[in-house]
Amino acid sequence: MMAGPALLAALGVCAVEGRRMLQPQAALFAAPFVFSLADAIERNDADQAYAFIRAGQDPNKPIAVRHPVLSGGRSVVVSPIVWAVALQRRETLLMLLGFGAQVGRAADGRAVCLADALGNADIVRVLVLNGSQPPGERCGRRMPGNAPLLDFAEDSESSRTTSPAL
Amino acid sequence: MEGAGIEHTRAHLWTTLVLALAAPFTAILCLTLWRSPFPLTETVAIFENVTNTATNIWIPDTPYYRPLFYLMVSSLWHHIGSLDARLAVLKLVQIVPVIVLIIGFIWHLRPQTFLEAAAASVAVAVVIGSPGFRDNLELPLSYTIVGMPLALIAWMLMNRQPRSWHAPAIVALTLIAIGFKEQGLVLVPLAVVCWWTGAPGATRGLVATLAALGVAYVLFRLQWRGEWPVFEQAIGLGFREMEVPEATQRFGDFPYWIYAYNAMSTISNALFAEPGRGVFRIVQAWSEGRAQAWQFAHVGSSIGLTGVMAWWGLRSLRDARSDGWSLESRACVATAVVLLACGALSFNYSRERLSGMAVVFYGIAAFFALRAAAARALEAKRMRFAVTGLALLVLSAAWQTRVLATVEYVRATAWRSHMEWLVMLPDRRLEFAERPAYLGIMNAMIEQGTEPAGPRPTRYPEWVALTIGQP
Repeated sequence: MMAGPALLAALGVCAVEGRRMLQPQAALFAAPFVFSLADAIERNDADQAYAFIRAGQDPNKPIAVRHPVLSGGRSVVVSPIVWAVALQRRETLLMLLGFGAQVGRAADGRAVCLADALGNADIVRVLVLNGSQPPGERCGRRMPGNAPLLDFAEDSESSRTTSPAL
Repeated sequence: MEGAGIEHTRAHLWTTLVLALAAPFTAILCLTLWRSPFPLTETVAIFENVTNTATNIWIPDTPYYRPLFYLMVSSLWHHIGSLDARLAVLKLVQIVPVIVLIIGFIWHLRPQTFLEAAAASVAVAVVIGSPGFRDNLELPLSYTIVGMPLALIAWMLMNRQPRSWHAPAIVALTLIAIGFKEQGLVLVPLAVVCWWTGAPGATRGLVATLAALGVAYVLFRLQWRGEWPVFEQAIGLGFREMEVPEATQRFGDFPYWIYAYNAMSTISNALFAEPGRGVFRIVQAWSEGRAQAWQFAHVGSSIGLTGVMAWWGLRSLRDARSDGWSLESRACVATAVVLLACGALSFNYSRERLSGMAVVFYGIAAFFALRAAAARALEAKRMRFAVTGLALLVLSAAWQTRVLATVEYVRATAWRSHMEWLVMLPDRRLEFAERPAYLGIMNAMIEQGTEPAGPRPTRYPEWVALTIGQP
């Protein structure tokens, strides 16, 4: 009787590993598929977000995003850093900073204002430590009633606002 | 003659069967370790340390003294040209001991019957599923996993008829084990136990040599005791963990009670799976009504097995008094003494990995105890046979879930290491900006850390994850 569980466990683990070899993308082994860098950031999936960077996507190139609250349902184009800050995805933000995203770019220089407006002191700290100016007067005041990301995008990159859905 | 040949063939058959049952787990563990990235934390600092020529690895002026480990890493670093080759050899230093330990363990038990093969298969699960084994699989911290097979080999040699090379080999094994981690000192009391219980290979000369080496080593280490902090790492007490400053403030004046608690925690964790790191997390979860199935499996299987071992231990000691010492009764005393020694050596803080050297002997004792219990059940009447058989089945099943937990633990550790490389680079670049050697090594290792094809935890359904305790 003692040998039964050992035999079952050995067979079970062989079956699982066999399937892992044959179907590595099965739900048992792989995270749910993401369609874009924006999608990966939204899920705070630093690994899959990194896969886009590794495959050649520029971490500073703006991406089209949309969020019911943050952008008021409108589609806007922002940098990956701004999108990570808006969603308060610390891990993906750190991944982006570690693999080439520049926090000092004109638009991203104000990502710290967005983090400040969202009240996330930890992300403010991360951005400041990585080269951003601390939030202050230059951030100005948010327009009341605006979705934070929309407010930010209109301030900095309104010309890139797009109409097609993400 | 013919009968002996048949017995020999049967022994090979059952040994092969147990090896076959252990092979999938061993292979998966080793392949996972092989494909795992080295973590950013620990690894880069270790490599930076060996590139610093001003460091004298032989002077024990730090709380941690592992000269042979650093000698090994330093030799690899300075004599192998490519980083990939260095990392590959370092992984082998972690993987080969796992293979030697598991194969050597089964070879030592060498089951002769189906019943013994069944007991051996559970004993292998006990070794792989023990926290003392699991916690020593982290790359590149091979300190104890190197010592574990050495302890097994020393034990096997001491239980054989002595040959001229046995004693020097045992001394060398002991020195290597101590050089990798001080837990290797447990081989000294082990040799004393073997000599005291009449093991054929534990000669008086060998034991005197090892005892002298042990005493000399401790005196050598104590020369620098003034530089040791009262507590080196965070300690657990009751239901919570406290950091070094708080522990020093509370217990610094008279730390001996808390040292005893730490030692007992390590022993208790090996025997009962609680407390972990000195904290009774499972008891706390249970008292708050949030205990999970794996927590019951861990504590229940440990208590159950330790209970069977206690029954067997008392029986074998009683037999030793009447019939003299046997391998079984010697294994009983050796397990107790090595466990006590592991506890004593973990006085400063309790961690699962610090009982690693005792896992080998806990596994051997588990084999003898389960074999005795199963043999007793076979002789019992129907009802008692059924109850004991069912209990042994449940015990075996619970330990198999712990083996699966170890496999998933290694996968999860690989995943954590991968994530470290993805998210910790900005902080490290800032923190170590003044250490170009550190940054150079770190940058060179990014590729291995971010390799997308590394191991990932299996995304089991929730009920499976809760049963095996997926980290």
